[in-house]
Formats: sequence, structure tokens, C-alpha cells
Amino acid sequence: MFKAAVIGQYIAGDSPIHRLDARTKILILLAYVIALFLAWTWAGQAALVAFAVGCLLCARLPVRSVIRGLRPILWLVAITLVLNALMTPGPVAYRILGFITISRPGIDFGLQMAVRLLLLFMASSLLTLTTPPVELTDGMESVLNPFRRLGVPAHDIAMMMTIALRFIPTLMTETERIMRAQAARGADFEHGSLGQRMRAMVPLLVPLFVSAFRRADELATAMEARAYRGGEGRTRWRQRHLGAADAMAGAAMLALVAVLVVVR
Amino acid sequence: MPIEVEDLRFSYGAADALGGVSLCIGDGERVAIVGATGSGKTTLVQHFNALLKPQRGRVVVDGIDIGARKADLREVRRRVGLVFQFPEYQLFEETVEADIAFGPKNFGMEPRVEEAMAMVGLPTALASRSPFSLSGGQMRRVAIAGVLATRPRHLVLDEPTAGLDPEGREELLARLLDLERTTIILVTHRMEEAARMDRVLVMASGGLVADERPRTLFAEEGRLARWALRAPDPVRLMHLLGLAGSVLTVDEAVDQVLARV
Ligand SMILES: Nc1ncnc2c1ncn2[C@@H]1O[C@H](COP(=O)(O)OP(=O)(O)OP(=O)(O)O)[C@@H](O)[C@H]1O
Ligand SMILES: [Mg+2]
Repeated sequence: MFKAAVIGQYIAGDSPIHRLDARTKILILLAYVIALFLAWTWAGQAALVAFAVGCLLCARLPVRSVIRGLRPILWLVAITLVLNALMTPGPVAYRILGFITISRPGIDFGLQMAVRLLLLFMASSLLTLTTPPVELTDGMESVLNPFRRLGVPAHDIAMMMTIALRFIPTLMTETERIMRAQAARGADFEHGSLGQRMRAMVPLLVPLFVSAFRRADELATAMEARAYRGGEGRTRWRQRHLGAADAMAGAAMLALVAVLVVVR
Repeated sequence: MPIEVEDLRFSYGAADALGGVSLCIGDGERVAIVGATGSGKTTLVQHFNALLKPQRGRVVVDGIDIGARKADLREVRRRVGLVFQFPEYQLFEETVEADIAFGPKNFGMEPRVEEAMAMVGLPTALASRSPFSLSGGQMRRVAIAGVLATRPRHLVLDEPTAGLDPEGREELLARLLDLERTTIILVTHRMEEAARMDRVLVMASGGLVADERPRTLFAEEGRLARWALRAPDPVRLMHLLGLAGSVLTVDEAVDQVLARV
């Protein structure tokens, strides 16, 4: 039951997008997100949608799992749409029950925000869907590296992400185990009022936190025992090099920016 | 009333974890379940208390078919106490007493905490301590007491003695076997423990491959090796000495050897 909750978990594949260097993908995603919030015309948004759909097709991911991954944010998108439509002042386009008004700019703005949210989510899950976690965090580290002078702990951030990703499945298995153990003692997680159900989480959360802290402690000891002392002077087992594909991907992104500037 | 399993099949998605198991465990029986790692023991016993529902086949506990749509699973869980592998990781209350009382309260029973603590050999002085301030072995006993406190008719224990010191293991098992009018189903990797039960079920690759009295089971070494099992040390010793006889325990082995001298 928890397996489905993992959004954007890596799906192995051998598409051009899978083969791109993680750094390229991270930087393109960054540029894309910035573009997403600077493009205000419908033509610009169409170009952004086309780019995302193009990448998605290139990645040759199972369509169904991508759509399933989008489901959790549909509520957020719907709420954004409704709230914007209702709250934005302007000439009234529709009137419901006499006192609820929907303005034309409200609809426009709401739709744009909805598209933006969907694209934002789709683009970022495209990154995590096509990049193995280890490469992702390595890429993160290299991208953040130049900012180390400003005091950004690039290596530590990357290491923390790696560890967090590594422990997601472990914690899920653990959750399921503890849930079963408490159910055997008569705990009921599914019935009762909201308050009752929240209280029913205590026997689940306490052991879960206890075991998470225990694991963290053990991991820290194990890392220290192997003389881990941060990123200083650490070399990589896998060296990655940028190639022609990365240049092409970068060119595609530049082309998108050019289109956006033209249709502004 | 018995626990009946008919052609039970279960899979976690990939290969079958259980491929058609049938058995019947009567009231008050003492049964061991043994088998190599991953052979499906835990999967099987989780069905006894309706934590897993049969994907095919039937599991009937005291007349309640747990696969039935309107089955009273709470009643099943009250009747069958299940002690998980490493149960100390399920403790969560502020005091030992409150943790042991959790199960009985859920089932609407009066918690008899002291009685449960005595059953697992915990000094009552610990009742007001935090379970997290105890040693691993003590935590294990608290967790087992938490299940015993619900006074189950059938008690299923998944490797309850793993990781305990030899003396504690002996003592805990002896206490559990002392429980009267309770069915004991013990999942274990220790053949000496299995030898103390009335009946041993052997699991291999999701199937039940043997269901015998320990004496019969351990007499034949060739079969055991095929299931990645080994007879208890005294039994193997007698085989090595060429003294074919039916022994199970060290005491019996000593008697037999002395009788020869
Ligand atoms: N939660 C799960 N998800 C997927 N597969 C599982 C899960 N639990 C068990 N399995 C698989 O089902 C099979 C049977 O597992 P089970 O835990 O019942 O074995 P076991 O006999 O209890 O082993 P052990 O002696 O190690 O406790 C194994 O192949 C295992 O990999
Ligand atoms: Mg097991």
C-alpha cells in the first residue's frame, strides 16, 4: 500500500534522456523552471508544453506510470485554478448564485498557473524518473560546487540527499512491519473519527522514529569507522564526461529560450 | 477449535511465497515451524491472525473464515496472539505497564499487566520504567508480555528467542511452554527448540514438505540436508557414534551411551 506513494522514483531505461549527464539535466531543469515563471503569453506556454512533451516522448517512459505520478498534485492544480478564478479582480465574466463572481483575467491567470504547476511537476519528475539517485546526487554536488566559496556545503547536501533516498524504501518496509505488529495487538488504523485515527498513529510513529534514529546512529558510526570525514579531497569512482548528446540537449534548451523571447 | 489451512497460496508480487499449503493445528497443540530463510514461515503465520488475507485457498481460525467478506478480524486477532520477529521494535508507550496494556485495551479487556509480566519473567519493579531504557532482552520480554496480556487461545511466536543469551532463551521458552490451554506455534531456526514441541512442520520454497513428530523427522539426516536443516546436536552425535536409536535431548543421549558402556 505504500509502494504507490513513491512519486518520481527512478525507472531504468536506455533512452537519450536517460543517457544524458545528470548535470546537464539539472541545469536544463533549472533553466526550464525559470523560463516557466517568466513566460506570460499563451504562445510561450504552448512552447513550454511542447518542450516538456517532447522530452517525455524522448524518455520513452511507461505513460501510465507518469500519469499515475501526476495524480497526487491534481488537487493542488484544481485548487489553484479555482482560487485564482475567484480572487482575481477584473471585469466579471460569470456570476454564480448572484454573489460569486469569476473574472476573465481570473480565468486566464488561474489556467496559466495550473499549466505552470503541472509543467513544473512533470519536468522535475522527468529528472528523477530518468536519473538514478546516485547520479542525481553526484550531479547536484558538481552543480553546487562553484558555490562552495559562498559557504554552500555542496558535498554535505549531496550526501544527505543520497542517504535520504537510500532510506526511503527501508522506512516504508519498516512502517508496514510496525503497522502489522500493532494491528496484531488490536490497533485499528482504518476506522474511527479523524481524531481517533490520528491518535492511532502514535503506536506507529513512535517506533518508526525510534528505529530511524537508531539507524541514523548506526550509519554515522559505520561511516566514521571507515574514516569518512566529508568531501575534502574525495575522488570519484565513476568519472562522468559531457558528450555530444549533452551539447545537443543544451542547444535544444537555448532554442526554447529563443522561441520564448521571440513570442514575448 | 482448530486453525485450518486449505490450499493456501500467497505471493507478494513476484514468485509465490506460499504455493498451496494445507494443514490443521488443533487446540492446545505445540507445533514448531522450521525451514530455510525465505521459505515462507512468516508469510504463513501472518495468515493465522489475518494480517495477510489468503489470495487463494482458505484459512479458518476457530470457525471464522478470515477470507470471508464480513469476517470479524478483530475477534481473530484477539484469539490468535502473534509475536513478531524482533517484537521489541513495536514498543512505543512511556511505561512498560502502559505498553503491555495496549493490546488488552484495544480488545476491550481488562489489562492484567502484572500477570503478563510474571509469565515472561519480568520483575514487577520494571512496570513504571520506560521501555526504551531496558536492555534488548528485557524489551523482547515486554513485547511478548504485551501479546500474552490479551490472553490469546493460540499463541504464534516468530523466532521469539533470536538474539537472546542461551540461558534467557531456555528460560523464556520454558515459560512459554508452561502456558496451559494455549496452542503454541513456534517459528524457529533452532532445532533443539523444535525438538521440544509435539509436532514439527517443515517449510521449503513456499510449500509444506513435512509434518511429523520431531523424533521421526530428525531420524533421517539425508532429508534434512535437502531442506537446509540439521538435526539437533545430540541426535547427530548418536548418528556419528553409529548408535542408531531415537534420542532427542542431551539427557537421552547420555542415558543411551551410558547404557552401552
Ligand atoms: N513484504 C514483502 N514484500 C515482498 N516479498 C516478500 C515480503 N516478505 C517476504 N517476501 C518474500 O516472500 C518469501 C517468503 O518470505 P518469509 O518472510 O515468509 O520467509 P521466512 O521463512 O519467514 O524467512 P526467515 O527465516 O528469513 O524469517 C521470500 O522469498 C521473501 O523474499
Ligand atoms: Mg520470517
